[in-house]
Amino acid sequence: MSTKKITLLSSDNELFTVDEEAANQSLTIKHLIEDTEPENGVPLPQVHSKILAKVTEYLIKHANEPDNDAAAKEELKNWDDKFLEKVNHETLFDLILAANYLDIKGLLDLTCQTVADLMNGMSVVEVRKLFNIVNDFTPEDEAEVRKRRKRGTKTIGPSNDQANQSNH
Amino acid sequence: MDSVLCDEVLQEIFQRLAPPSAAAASLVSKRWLHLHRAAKTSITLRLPFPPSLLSLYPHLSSLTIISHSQSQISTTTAAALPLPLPRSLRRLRLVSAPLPASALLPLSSSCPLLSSLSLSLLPPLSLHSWLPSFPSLTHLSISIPIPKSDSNQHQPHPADHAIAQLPLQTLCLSGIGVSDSGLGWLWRSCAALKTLKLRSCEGLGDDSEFNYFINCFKGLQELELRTCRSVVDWVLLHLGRHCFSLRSLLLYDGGNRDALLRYLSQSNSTLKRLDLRLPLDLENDHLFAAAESFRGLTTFRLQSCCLVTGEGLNRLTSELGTGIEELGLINCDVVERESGLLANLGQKLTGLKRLDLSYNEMLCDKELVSMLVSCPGLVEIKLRGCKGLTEETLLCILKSCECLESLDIAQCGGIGAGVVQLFVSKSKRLRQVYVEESKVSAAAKRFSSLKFMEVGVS
Repeated sequence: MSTKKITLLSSDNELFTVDEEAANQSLTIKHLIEDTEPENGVPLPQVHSKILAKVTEYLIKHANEPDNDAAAKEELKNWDDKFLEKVNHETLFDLILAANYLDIKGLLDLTCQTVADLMNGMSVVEVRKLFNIVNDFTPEDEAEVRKRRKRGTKTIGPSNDQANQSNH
Repeated sequence: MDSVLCDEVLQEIFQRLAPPSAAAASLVSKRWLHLHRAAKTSITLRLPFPPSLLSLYPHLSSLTIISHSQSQISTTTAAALPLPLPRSLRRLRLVSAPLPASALLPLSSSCPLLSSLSLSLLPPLSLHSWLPSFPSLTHLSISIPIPKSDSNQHQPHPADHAIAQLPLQTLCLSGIGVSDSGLGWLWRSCAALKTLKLRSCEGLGDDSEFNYFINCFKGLQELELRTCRSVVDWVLLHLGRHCFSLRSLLLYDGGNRDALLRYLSQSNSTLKRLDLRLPLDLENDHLFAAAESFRGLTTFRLQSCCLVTGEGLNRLTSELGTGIEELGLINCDVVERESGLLANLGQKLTGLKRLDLSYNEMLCDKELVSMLVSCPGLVEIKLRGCKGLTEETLLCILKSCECLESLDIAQCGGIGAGVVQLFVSKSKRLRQVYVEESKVSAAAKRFSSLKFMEVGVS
């Protein structure tokens, strides 16, 4: 296996070096270096060094994903949890944007899941605050949407048809 | 921040939300509502709804329409089946008063791509007239309303309709009467059938059609017969003779002793799943036969069979041993009657992954615990309605079954809220718990949402 190094250039001109194998998890970078390899590092003008540092940390850790080793998987999962534990909301959103722009599926999954977990259990007002969204519904709109919402969604738990069909 | 995240990323997040939060997300802003709807591929609507509503869901592939009003019967088909429906629709479920067969041709031209259709249909079914016009239909579920005794008009004998090559793989029929005819065409036309589920069927077509039924045994892998008392013996007889591909058999509420015994003894079987409920006279002989014939069995479930004793179960588990991955002894009093039986079973079934001992009300901790210690590989345990169990069982599961992902302890009055909370917080891989909501404290709920666990009562 090649251990070729790839240099990445952040929007504020900071350089980061990773193994090619790690860098290739980003399909954007992979495509960029497939065509021509830039001499002064792969330019990533949309990613600030503060975020790119986190992204490369993730890429390096995930460069060799374990296939069948349950213990290693568990360890990686714990690492993922820790990786985002102390990240503030703003950085979390920046990481999502970077993962989306760089096309890193694993990181996008992880960050989106983290935001979804944050939102689970939040009220509508809290969600608006988290995302800094202004409510643009008129009260009539809102009442209409609320009315349309299916009644009986309060029960938690799986609701698959199989369960309803079975006769137990 | 809203403007920063593009639609694509927000969709990614929406897909990961628990259902209640996803519904709340639609109330955040107009953009979110739009995105929320655009992401939906499956919805349930109650009639009546404005036709324009469907256009808000451009990626809809699965639709359930519910109409509870009985008055919308046959005469107002249009009201029960609001055509046109989106052309992209793949799965359609109609929960309504029965429709006449004539309503289905218009549906087929509206939704030609349907792969799954579930509905209630008025006789005559006239299957030959509309079924071939759904060229992609692989899953069909029809329930026929029970006819009122006075309206038992004789149906004209169907002419010989050309046999079709239907792509149907799964067929569910409910409520076929003794005199319903026209099914012979269906049996002859579904040679690709893999799964057949019959519920409350008194017949399978008239005499001449009955025999065509065997035609669909050819590649059949899964058969379910629920309350089909008058046909079950005949089906079992021919199943043993003509079907060599069956992997799963479910038999609920029907079947006499001898027919079942004959089936269980004579088949050189490929069967992997056997699920029996309430053949009242099912006894050890049946289990001995199954142990001989079904060498590859991985799932064995018995429900409400009170003549079976430990001798039968011990023989079965000795023969099949580590191959068994799922065992169900639901409401089978042998579990409570014979002390030490479960411990014995546990020692033989070292490959066990799923255990269902629901509704054994007198089952006590000691019996169950002595089994669980031998089954470290369990991923699913169902103990619903086992009122005799206490926290001791839960603590043993916590210690012995480290792989456990799903647990059902609803209606277990002896298991308190405190130990449930301890269990939820300590269990490593748990994903699903079924338990009364009152036993799940706010803290446990919070913890469970962190682990993407579903807590339900269902």
